[in-house]
Amino acid sequence: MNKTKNTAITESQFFKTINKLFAKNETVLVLSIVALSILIGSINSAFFTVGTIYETLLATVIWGIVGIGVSLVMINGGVDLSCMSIAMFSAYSATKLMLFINPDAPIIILFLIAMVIGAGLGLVNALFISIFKIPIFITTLATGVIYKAIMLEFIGNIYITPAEMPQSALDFSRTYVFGGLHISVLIMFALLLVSFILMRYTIIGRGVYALGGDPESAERIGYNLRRQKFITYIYTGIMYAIGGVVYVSNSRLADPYDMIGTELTVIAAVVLGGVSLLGGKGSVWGVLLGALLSVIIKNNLILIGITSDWSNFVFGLIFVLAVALQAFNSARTKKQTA
Amino acid sequence: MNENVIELRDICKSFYGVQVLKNINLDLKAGEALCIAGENGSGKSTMIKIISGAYTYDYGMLKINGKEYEAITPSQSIAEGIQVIYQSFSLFPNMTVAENIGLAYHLLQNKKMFNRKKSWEIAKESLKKIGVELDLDRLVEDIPVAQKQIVAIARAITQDAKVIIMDEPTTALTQREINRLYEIINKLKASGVSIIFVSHKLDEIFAVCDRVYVIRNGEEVANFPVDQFERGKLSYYMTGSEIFEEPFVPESIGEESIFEVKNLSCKEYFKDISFSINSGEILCITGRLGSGRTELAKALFGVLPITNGSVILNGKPIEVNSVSDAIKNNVAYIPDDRLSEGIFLGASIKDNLVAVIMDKLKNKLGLIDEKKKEKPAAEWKEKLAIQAGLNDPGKSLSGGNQQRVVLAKWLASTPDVFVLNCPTVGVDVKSKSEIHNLIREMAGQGIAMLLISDDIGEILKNSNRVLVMNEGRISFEAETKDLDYDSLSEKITEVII
Amino acid sequence: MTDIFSKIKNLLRKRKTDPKQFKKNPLSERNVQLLLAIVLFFIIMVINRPDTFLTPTNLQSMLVQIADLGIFGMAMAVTMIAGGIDLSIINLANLVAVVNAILLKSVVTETMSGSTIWMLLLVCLVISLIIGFLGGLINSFLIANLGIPEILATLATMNLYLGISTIITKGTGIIGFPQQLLDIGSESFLSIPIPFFVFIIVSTILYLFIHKTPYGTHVKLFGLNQKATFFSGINNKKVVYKTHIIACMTASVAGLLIMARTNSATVDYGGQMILTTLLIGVLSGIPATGGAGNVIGIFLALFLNQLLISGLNLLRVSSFIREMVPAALLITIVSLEYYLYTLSERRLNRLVLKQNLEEVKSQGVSNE
Repeated sequence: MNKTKNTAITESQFFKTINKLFAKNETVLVLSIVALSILIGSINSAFFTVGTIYETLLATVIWGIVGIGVSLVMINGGVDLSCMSIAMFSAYSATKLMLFINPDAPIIILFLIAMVIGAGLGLVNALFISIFKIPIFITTLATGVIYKAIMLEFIGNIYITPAEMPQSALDFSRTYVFGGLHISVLIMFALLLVSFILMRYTIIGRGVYALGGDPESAERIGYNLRRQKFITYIYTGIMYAIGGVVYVSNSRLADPYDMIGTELTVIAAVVLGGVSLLGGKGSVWGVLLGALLSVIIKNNLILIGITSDWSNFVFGLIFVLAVALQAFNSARTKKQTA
Repeated sequence: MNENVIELRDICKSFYGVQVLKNINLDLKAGEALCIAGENGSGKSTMIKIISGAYTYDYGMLKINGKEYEAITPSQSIAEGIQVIYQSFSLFPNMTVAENIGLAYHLLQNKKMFNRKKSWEIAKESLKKIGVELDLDRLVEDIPVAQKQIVAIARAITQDAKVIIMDEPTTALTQREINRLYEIINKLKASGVSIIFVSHKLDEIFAVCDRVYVIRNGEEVANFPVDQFERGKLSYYMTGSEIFEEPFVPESIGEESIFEVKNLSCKEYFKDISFSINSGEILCITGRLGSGRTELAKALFGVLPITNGSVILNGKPIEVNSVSDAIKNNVAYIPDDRLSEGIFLGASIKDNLVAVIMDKLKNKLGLIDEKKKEKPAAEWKEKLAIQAGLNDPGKSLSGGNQQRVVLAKWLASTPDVFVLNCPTVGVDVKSKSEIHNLIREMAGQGIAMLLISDDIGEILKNSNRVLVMNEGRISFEAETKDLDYDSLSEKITEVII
Repeated sequence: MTDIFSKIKNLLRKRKTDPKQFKKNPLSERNVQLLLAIVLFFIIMVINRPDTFLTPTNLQSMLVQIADLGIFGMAMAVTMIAGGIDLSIINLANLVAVVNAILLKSVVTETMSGSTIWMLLLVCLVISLIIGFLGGLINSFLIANLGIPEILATLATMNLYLGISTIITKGTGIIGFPQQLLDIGSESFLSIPIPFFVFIIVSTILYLFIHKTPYGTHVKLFGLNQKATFFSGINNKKVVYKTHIIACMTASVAGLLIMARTNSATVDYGGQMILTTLLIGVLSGIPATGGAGNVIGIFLALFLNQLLISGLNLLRVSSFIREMVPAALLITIVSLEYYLYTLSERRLNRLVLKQNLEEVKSQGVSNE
């Protein structure tokens, strides 16, 4: 009698954990990525080479790093449409500045300059959001356009050619580790890790979730909303800046027109990764998964014979499937707890 | 230990020229449970907000733990150990129970790092102190209301609460959960924590409170220890009039049944419900929370599906499988959650009033203009004495006026059946009695009135027959003229095994 | 006697501090603010560049540009009033253009008579509206039936429509359309460019929908509170369908107009415009969460936007700065509004505080 009771308990516990696991968006994502990879790989084994994997990871970098910032703002309860503008503004200005002051400086200087600029632009966003109480979506919609305009007008609108790029940036673009993995992928993982730790184990990080869950309650238990917002936007500004520098270095080209306009793609990747548009939910790892899935779809369909003409359509279709699945999943978990 | 934790002396407060509090005097001792009772608009919420620092008082003196505060801020109030648990609980739905409880602790201690393990331990300990065990890893948005309240209380304790103020804490609880709450409160009292309980429900007052403080129109009308307090007098103190809860007697009851329900069932919510309403009658369906009364109301309006039984209107069976079915059959429903289900806060009164009848207002081309909207809107605004301009936004109205707007919205659609779900919750005294008059008037006009309520005084005064629901079935039926407060209350709260 | 006097005094005092009176400040109406800004800038332009600003060429070019952005702006605004968004409208318009382009290219011959071509163009209009209808249907299905958040659903369909266009055209643009169509894009009637007439017709139809039909009131209430609309008997799903179908059909008209004006159908025309339509919507006074909005406001916002862009062009301001006009306008107006609002709130509070102290003192005396 006792034995069957015990197995019954462990069985229900097993289903409970499976249920909990599936309720997590990240799980569904990992499975989708694995499934898609197997699909692609079985049709074209070129997909499973180390080289392709490294390439895929490299292509994910810009979306992943910028995505960290976008996901933070989204968890905080808003949508940041100025992400790419801040990224390119910081990277382009920093490159120009460094070329002007000391073109032979190490890459870290380029990063630092960009980070300062990015922080400043994030600060401006925070000012409008916090002091004038303008909704995040509207503020960043406007500042995205304004930053781009200011950059083109006052900093420059001509792209910096590979020949003109700082040497350290060019060297950076050729730095590989582990037999072919680009260093910027490691940077992305490092940033993901740092952000994850900050979000989970610091009071300020928890504050991002708190603000996204219920700002009034956050204030009631002692959070300084203004300080929270400022810190959040400065941090995300820094993230965008790093992403921008990595991108221009890897492209060996600093084109101020580049990337701006792809904000919706980042948002798509972040949302695909399970960060809720309503705020309060999601993790930076989801960002990585979402970006990875997007890149795999976009870049690797050609390996299974889908021409570039069809890639937008297929991406749109898969995106529809993915968000429909997400909506279905969350409706299912809501029903269960009712 | 007989020191006063909180002292209010001659507190006065006005808003926009209207005096809301007049010479309030109050003492609260450690380990004492005080009930502040009063109608909506009496000033009880203002009192709480002054103690918690959300408002500053204009005149008088406020002393907390022996310290005098001229203008206390919320953080000072919290530092003095005053914790308010609002009806919304102020929890983070997207975080777990442990995180919710632990986060507050970390913030109070001004920590920089969030120690997850410590949060867990603190949460566990805190819950233990009040004698409850919960799944600490569940997200707060996934747990039932009663558990949310417990989490809120547990959190208050971690912040070293000396006074816990609870605002209408039992509104959304079942009887079992209410009893558990009483146990928790007694435990807190025993450990020296004072409780301020804002409520107007007699049973609760007598169950846990040591002292009753009744406020009316901003002034103190009673301040007694509970054992000196006359039960039957609470209503008198709160409203200022001797109400002998005269049961409603309809002028004339029609021969035919207007609205009839036979063996109605809906999944596990309710089974085998039958009743009939004739012209002139007001039928009340009551019961504890969870008895199925709200589900029944919703099913009659097409929100919940009917799995068995029939609904008959004026002798003909009708379908109410959807809200549009219900409206087509002239069934109206006043929801109990006015703010999120009844009124459009951001829309004008005019738009609120015509929301249901819009389609009926259009001309041959399918067009409507503002003038077409104004006529019926103005008419109904007059009829229900709504104190506001047609273009004022819904959010600028008092609770009572808002409820009138919701009523008018449905009256404009000339219903045959009117289902009202707790229509006077959060409504000031004057509006409440006017709404009651309206309900009786509508019955007299031949509209089948179905009232869902848990306010016994309201039930006795506004219905001629009452059905008590218990665990989804009808457990008791009677005419209100044969009942009084206590007997009806007993029938509602009895637990059927 | 003194009783009456004190009653009157109380009434007057109440009026001064009645918060509702305070909010009746006409400057708080967005339409008024926009109109003032338009008049102001118009005057500035007339003073500074009378010879180039008031020319027919300039004015006509302004009207054409307003029409170009405006039809999309109107379409987006409808979805914003409902509290949502439709990111797919521009790509849908391009799809419409592409489909029509292929049709025209394959059917039109050199020897066709003018009247046949006009018949054909009418067919094109019908086809466009059908495609718009279908697009709206698809978007609404994803949003209302599958429960996908609007921004995601339309983000997906945005890619979908772009994808279909790309497949059809293999990425290259299609050029060369009948003169009759091009005339619509380039000719004027009574000195007003025909595209602007199209814009006016579209706006009028939308005006009727939003301000003169039950749907208009329903959609505003829907944007405010979907639970309350449900409990008021409004069919929420129907509102979503109507909204997106109206928006997408409007956008499809824009698709034809793009062909007429640019003599080409490409897959990616106007990509950046989508953000601008959002800016115009918010500028016109539509709250971020929806629930309110008026067609006049959208019209004024479009006008002000174009006035500034064209004006700054004539003032030789760089094109980069000109590009940020709608964004800068938005931030300015919203910040200004907030500043004015807090100013009036502070004034009100000071007044009220004074009032309260007086009241209490007088009450205190009467109590004794």
